[in-house]
Amino acid sequence: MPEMSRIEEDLGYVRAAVARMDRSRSPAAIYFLWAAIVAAGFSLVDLAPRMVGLYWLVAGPGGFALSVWLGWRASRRAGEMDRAEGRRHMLHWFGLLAAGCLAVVPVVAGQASWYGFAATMVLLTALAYWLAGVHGDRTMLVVGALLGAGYGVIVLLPGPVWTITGILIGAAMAAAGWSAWRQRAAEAR
Amino acid sequence: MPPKRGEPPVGAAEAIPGREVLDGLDKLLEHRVRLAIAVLLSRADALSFSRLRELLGETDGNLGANLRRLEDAGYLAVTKEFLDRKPISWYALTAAGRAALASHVRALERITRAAAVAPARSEHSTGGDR
Repeated sequence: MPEMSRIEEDLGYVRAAVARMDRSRSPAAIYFLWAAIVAAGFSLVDLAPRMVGLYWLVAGPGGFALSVWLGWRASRRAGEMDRAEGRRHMLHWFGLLAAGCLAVVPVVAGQASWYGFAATMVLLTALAYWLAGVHGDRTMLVVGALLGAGYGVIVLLPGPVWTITGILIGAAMAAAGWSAWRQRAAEAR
Repeated sequence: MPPKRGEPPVGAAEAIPGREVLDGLDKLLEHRVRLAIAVLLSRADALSFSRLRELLGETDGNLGANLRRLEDAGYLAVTKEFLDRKPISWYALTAAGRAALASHVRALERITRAAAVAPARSEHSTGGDR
């Protein structure tokens, strides 16, 4: 039946276009931004512990706002306007920000230490990256797994583990950013 | 029981979807590029010309001609702006375009269902399973 085979071919063409559209990529700039924020923020725990709270108070919400703007700018440059997708990303990462704020409560109430709070934040961030990788950009799975391993190192090992973990995670994010940038450049050619 | 004279054999009616099934199709969206444009635009608020070209792999001329036909039919709305000093055309599906796509997709579903049922009935009537 020629009509049916033509319809099937047409639907295959449409399906392929939709699959190309669904390939979710985060802009490389967001990876580089968080690579720098995390590497500096973690190192501060070993080098200048008093600055840690203030640093994350500014870098957390500031990095979030900057990421939203970078994502919006990247999607416009890519030629795609999708408010629903933007809202989904924002809700996902806002969840992490809100969890971070709530994790301060036990410390303020004297039921947990700042060290415990920081370790919990690493674990929450690992989970947020892992879930982002499961539902979208696969490169985030690697960052999530590294953050999970970093949590184990921080909790179990003594020494300047925060600096080492921060640098490792920062390097992983920078590598993910580099990979996203190269992928985008290859597609543009 | 063999079919009466002048009647099509059992299963033949389903093998080729009836005219009423095909009538549900939207003439404009029967073209695969226009159908793909409408489907892609139904999944976002707006897409630029270059993004559509990237996703569909069509030439500027072919894509432009198909976009114009959809625009002329009132299925698409176009807005133009400058981004980094470069002109950019944003295409969005209108309410009429969404309605046309929904009805076209429903017709396609009816056709594929009819085509899926036809071979099974045809096999059954000719003892294909035995």
